[in-house]
Amino acid sequence: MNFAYRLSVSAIALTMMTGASFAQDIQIQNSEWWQNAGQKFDGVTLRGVTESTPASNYVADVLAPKFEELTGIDVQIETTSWDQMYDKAIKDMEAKTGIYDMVYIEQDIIYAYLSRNFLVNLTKALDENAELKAPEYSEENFTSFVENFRGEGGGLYGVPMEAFIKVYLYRTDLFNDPDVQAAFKEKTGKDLKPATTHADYAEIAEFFTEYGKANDMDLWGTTAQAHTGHPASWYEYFESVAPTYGVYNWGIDASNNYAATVENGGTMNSPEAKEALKWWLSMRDIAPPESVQSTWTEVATTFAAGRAAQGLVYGENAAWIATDEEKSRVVGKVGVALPPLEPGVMEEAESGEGYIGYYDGGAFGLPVTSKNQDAALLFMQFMALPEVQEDWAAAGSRITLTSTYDTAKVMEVDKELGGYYSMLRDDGKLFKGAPEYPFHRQVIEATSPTFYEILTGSIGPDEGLDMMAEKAEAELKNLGYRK
Amino acid sequence: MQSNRLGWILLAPTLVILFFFGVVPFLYVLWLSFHQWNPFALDPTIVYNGADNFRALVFDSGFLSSLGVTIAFVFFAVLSELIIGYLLAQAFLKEFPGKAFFRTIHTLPLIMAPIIVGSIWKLMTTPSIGIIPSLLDSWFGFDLNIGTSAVAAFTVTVVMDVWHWTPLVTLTLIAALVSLPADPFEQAQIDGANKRQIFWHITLPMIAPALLATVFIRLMDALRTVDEVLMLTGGGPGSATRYLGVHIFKEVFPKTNYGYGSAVSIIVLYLTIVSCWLLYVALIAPRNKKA
Amino acid sequence: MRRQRTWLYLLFWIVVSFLTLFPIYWLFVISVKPAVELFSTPEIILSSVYWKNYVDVIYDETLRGYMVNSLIISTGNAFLVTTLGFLACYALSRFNLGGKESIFFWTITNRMAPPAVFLLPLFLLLTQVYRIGDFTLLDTKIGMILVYCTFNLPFAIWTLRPTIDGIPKEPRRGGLRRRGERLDGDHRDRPAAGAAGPRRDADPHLGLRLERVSARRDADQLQRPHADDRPVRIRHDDRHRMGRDGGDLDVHPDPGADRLQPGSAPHRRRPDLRRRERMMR
Repeated sequence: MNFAYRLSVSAIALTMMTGASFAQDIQIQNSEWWQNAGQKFDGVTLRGVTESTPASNYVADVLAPKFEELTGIDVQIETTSWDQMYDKAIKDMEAKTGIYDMVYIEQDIIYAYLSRNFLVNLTKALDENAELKAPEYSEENFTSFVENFRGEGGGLYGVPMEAFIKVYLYRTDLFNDPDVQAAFKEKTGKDLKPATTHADYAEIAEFFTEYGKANDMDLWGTTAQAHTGHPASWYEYFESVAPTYGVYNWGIDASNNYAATVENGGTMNSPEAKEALKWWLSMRDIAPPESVQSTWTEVATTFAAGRAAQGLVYGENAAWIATDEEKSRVVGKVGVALPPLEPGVMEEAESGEGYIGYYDGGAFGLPVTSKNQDAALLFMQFMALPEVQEDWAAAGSRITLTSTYDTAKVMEVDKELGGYYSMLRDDGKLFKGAPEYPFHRQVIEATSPTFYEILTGSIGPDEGLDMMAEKAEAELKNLGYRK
Repeated sequence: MQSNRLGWILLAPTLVILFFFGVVPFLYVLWLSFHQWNPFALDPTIVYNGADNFRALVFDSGFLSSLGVTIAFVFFAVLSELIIGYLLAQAFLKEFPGKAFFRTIHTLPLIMAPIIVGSIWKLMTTPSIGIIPSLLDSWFGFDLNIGTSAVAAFTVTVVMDVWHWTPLVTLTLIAALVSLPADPFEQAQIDGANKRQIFWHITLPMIAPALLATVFIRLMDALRTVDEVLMLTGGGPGSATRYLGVHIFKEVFPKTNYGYGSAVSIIVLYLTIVSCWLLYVALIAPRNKKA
Repeated sequence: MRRQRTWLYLLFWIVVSFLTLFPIYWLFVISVKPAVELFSTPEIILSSVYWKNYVDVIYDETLRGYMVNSLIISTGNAFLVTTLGFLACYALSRFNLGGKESIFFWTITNRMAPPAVFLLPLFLLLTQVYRIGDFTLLDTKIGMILVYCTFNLPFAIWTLRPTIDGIPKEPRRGGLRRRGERLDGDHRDRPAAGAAGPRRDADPHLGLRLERVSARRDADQLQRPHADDRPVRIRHDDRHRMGRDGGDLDVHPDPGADRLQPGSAPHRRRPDLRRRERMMR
């Protein structure tokens, strides 16, 4: 009891200290400009809604109070679940209620929002209101990820807030263990190193699953984001696995009347897509048993708990897996690599024809229905200031400004993380965000029931993909995109 | 004799609230169900499409399978709750030490929000790391996997619902049983009726109204279960637990298919009212005739 | 023999309570573990306690705001629903309102609607239609309280009505205000009912509250000579009149009983209280 009491008191003290240190660390240049700019918005409250992620929580907990301190504008950020966030934002913009002055736009929904003219053109708005333009803000500062949020005429419709790639994480402690290396060599005749092809990856995965079983460890050879009732599994297949087999943009050809089936010119049920699915299912079978109930969060936690030797993990989780002792058992034991590929895919990615994995992230957009657009413009620029980025990057493993790569904290984490940030900077161009479709969740929901049936085995992968391609086309016809 | 005007005045606030927050939205949904509306379609406006939504519904295998599993879910869940609830209510009529304490414990699940109930059961049943699969595996070598086995997932949703809602049935039935008079029972005993006969011919008819009210409430709540199941299985594996509530949720929230979702809702509402009415007729009407 | 049975009951209830409590216990176990420990083979017994989750919750300002919201909305809703539900039940039970049985059934249909789709019209109505001048229900707690009423009022009406029906309406002094007074009278005049009644083990729990109310309702019915002594035939007539939404409620002891269980026996003759005494013992 006494121990517990002491523990809780020290924990409280710790939390307060960390909270305090964050706020103090940020020094804003040219703070008079912000004070002056904020004066005319006295008493204004800005409301935002975002998904509850480490990066968003940093906005709500640190940046918003700091901004209020600076300008006197109150900023309330709601952090909620992914589904709820979309529902709230879309209802507000659709009904033109004007509750929110900032909405989180995940990269894959921007095209839907743009097609409905939900968002303010920030470039244009700042050009027209020169007195609102902060001297330190510049669109030049952003990384290439910003291109995802440009609309017609190159105008910017969202301030990038987080950005990450889905990488191949592996356990350096296992891969570098001489005994393990010897056992692997004996079994396969190869040296144990991160895989570059699907065959190698499968070999390593099988080896570690057997190794875990033989040594009575809770260890499996791969992760799998294979929930049988949540679209996370759909995303993993179409955005992380299929591209590595050369099936891009979900196998839907937008330029060809949104065809999905092979007979109409799509690739959703192409032989490559079927091979990719079978490979992924075989990996799912040797992944930890909880994988059939895993979304992105559980995959990260499974890896952090040391239950997988390698796997594809969203980069937003990479930093805490590699550094946070409270959440992770594999601190300092994590390496990153590019995802395993089929031959020829890398060449396509380098030429810009294809891509090797998922570049995800999001931005804050300003709804046209907002009643405080001018004040919101100030906060948008504030989030893009170089001086607020360093701690934000450390807290949320996100980088949206090129200058952030060279800050001390990021370089330090980069080392612990086996070069994740360097990879983001140097190889980021090989990854791609979701395809430019305004109908993401509609197609996903139309095809995912079949996909779940494939996962449970009640439909075979080949005929399952055939059915999905047909359903996708039917839904697109229904929505009016496919003629 | 009080004037009826006072009665209407007392009833008015309820009627007003239910009208503005119950009837008006219903009319809107009814109107929407005859339209095509998806804000992310090429044409994002609301377009009248006659009875197309309802026509599509009949051929929608997703909806039909969802209807099937929902009926199975409601049947097993509500029936188990009634039987267990009745047995527990009978047990509570006996006198034993700590009765009030046990009754308090027994009501605890009722105060939990559905979303929390869903989370608890998810944490308990996640394959390999949940406590229940882990214990079943080490004790009986049985592999409970709600991520792959349709039967397992279905069973867990039923057990979860039973755990959550049996206390409600128990409480209502205690109230009904306690207020039963003794005479008919004594008469029956004198006439030589056995326990089963007494239950079927005396207890059951006498607690029927309370039973009916409970079944009504449980039936309609089970038919629109969403949060718990969405949290636990997401409607999976496959579509094994994609109950109507979950189906509608997925049509309306992620897919923003408002017109079609409205049509499904209207049908579900209609089915609920009809099944409640059937129950009413089956349980109450024959006895009216007899009397 | 009797003693043995007591132990059996105790054992039975301990097992049942264990089953009831286990998920709640498990919720607690998980709440005092760091996230990373959830992803390992679980153990039933808690070996170490990790309070940081609680500290995080307590120090989370946003979450505290949500808790306050929940508290205000749920208590506000409970208060409103109880009040309005009571008034409505009183009206339904004591007044000869045309079509009231239909209204009664209609209220519950409001609870049957699948909620997902109805959120959209509610959102539109609250933000755009139901506005007075500049005031809208948008983003207000009262708006949420009213929305919840749609689902909770029918429930309250359906659970409260039998209770209100059970309280006899005395021609000279009807109404709830004097209920306590009248109950004192009960106690004095009819010790059997009072003593056998639930007061003995009254506790604030929901279970007992229901039980107590019902028991009293029964006791009241039993003690009404003009009702109990009437021949069966007259009750029959009452029922038919009730069926047409009419009937003189002033002389009717328990409209609810007749409406819902017209054919059943209990109220036709004067039952004695021995059975219940046995049950309560």
